[in-house]
Amino acid sequence: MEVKKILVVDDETTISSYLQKKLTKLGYTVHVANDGEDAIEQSFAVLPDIILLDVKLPKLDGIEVCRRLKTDGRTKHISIIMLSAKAQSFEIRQGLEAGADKYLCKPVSFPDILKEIQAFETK
Amino acid sequence: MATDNIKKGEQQRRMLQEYIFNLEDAQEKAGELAVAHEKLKRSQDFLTAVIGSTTHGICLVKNHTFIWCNNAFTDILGWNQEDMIGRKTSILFHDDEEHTDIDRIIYDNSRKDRTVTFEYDFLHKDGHRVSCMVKGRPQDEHDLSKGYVFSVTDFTDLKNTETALKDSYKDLEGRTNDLLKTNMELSREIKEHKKTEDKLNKYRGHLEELVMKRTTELKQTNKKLQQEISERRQQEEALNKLEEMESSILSAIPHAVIGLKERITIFANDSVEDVFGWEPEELIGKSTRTLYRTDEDYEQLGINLYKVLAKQKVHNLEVPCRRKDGRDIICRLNVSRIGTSLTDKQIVVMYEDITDIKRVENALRESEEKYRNIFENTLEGILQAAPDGRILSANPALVRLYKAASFYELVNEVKDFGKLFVDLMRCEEFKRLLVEQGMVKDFEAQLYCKDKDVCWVSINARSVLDESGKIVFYEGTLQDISEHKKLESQLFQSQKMEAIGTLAGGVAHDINNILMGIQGYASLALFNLNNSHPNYEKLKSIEELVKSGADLTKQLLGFARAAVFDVK
Repeated sequence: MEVKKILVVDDETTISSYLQKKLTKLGYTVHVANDGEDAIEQSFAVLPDIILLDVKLPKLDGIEVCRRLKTDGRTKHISIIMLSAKAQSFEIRQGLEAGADKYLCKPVSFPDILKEIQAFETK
Repeated sequence: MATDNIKKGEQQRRMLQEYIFNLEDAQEKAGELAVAHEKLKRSQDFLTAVIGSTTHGICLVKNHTFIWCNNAFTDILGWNQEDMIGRKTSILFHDDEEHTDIDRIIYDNSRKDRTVTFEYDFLHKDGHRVSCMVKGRPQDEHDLSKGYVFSVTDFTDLKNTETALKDSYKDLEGRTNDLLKTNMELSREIKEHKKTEDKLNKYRGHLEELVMKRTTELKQTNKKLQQEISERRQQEEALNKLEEMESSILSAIPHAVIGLKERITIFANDSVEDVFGWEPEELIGKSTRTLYRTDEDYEQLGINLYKVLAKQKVHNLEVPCRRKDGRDIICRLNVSRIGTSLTDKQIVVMYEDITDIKRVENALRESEEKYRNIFENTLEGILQAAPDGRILSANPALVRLYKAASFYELVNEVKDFGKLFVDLMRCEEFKRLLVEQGMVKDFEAQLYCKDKDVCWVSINARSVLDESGKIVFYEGTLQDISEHKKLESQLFQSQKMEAIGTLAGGVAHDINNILMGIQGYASLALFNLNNSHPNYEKLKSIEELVKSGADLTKQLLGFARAAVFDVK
């Protein structure tokens, strides 16, 4: 699968802008959403190849966003990597049950995030 | 409590994530900075090298004070770096007026156009003027207080060159004017020349045609000449070969070969020495009279020879000649006329010394005569026959033997000599002996003559072989021994008779004795008998018979004596 478009969803601008800068430098087209509703809107609009999704989001949390996207025919094919500070096992289970393709616990170094994205490329 | 811890943990993780990203970012920036620093250092080093090595003077001026300058700048103006830095720029000017002028140029220009360029003769430390080209600009476009950077180039040499160039340009101008004048004249001349050229071109074209024609002609002539030359060369070669061959032939011919013109020798081969004793060189150029015995011989020969040669090309004849040593020889001359007519009396004569041959011929003829006489006149028949029996030759004696009238009659009647043998076995024997022994001696046989007469002959013959041993013909002598044979048989007959006679005599004598004996006994028996005795008549008969017997033996004896002489 070729990954060209990435949607970064995080309410922390330092994180989202850093990720956007680094990923754009690597040649990806990066879109940013700061809340859950914006995330859903942009997902339908842009149809990214991968979504980096934080859980703790204003307006709509990441779990719900993931559930909605994975149930909708138009967006269920999009790979979702969850990136969250929530690290309890039940929370992780929640995320995976919601349909996330991968659950990463913060803090994660950028090289590790990139590895995960590239793993989807080789699939 | 637990939930608080969980929430605290979450919070801490969020913060950690931020820290991590910031750290990564800072690391990246540091890396980039190091790279940039490295690049900067390299640029600085490069810049230092450039500035240090350039021949252009570079200086940095701020508030009319030299802040920095390179070595080239100080070289141009005679100062050294330590003296220059910190000094006022007025040191380069003769007076303040000049300084102000330049100032105005720089600052006026710097307001309109960032870069200023001007020429100025600065004051060297030594006091003389240095012609320089100056290029300057503010260090920072937006902040003029930071000062100006100037680039100064000493173009004193350039100026001198410029002056020299201006002078030579003036000179050139003068020359150009002269040239223009000359050019105009030349143009005129050229026009005239053009007219002449056109005329020439016309003639040249014509000339070229002629030349081409002539060249073609010459080429053809040349080709012909080449052909002739090669032909001539071939002919020469052929001639040389012929001459060589001629020389070889002449040398090989064992007879003297002399070429004559008007009876003077023009060439002679080496063999003239063998034949005449003269060397060829001794004869050349001289008359051929030297080769003959007398003037008469010479003259007569000439008359006869040239008369014949006038009509035919070759002639041969035998002529007596004389050698250098005076010995006379006979030569056969083979004469050939050179050419179709006798102009210059050009002939070639081959002299063959036939003296010995002639002598031999004569001897041969004589011996032939002798043998012919023998052949013709001998009483013995001489015969030559081919292996198949054909008679090749027969002398008169043989013809007579056969009782033919002539040789031709003999040959016509006798196709195979072998068939003349009366006894064919004898013929076979004859042939066998000839083949085995190659000869027969005193071979006696009976042959048929003409009209079926028979004669006895004694043959001595041999077979003549060729080189390969094959019998070519038989030859031999036949002697008629018919008489001999008759006498022989008569003798034989008389001898036989004599022998019989002797025998008869002996027998008769013995019988007589026997008869006498019988008579005796008969007489004795009768002595005491009379005729009445029964045996008296018988005994008387015996006496009568004895008498008859005695008569018989007497006759026989008489015959025996006579037989010795009576040969029929």
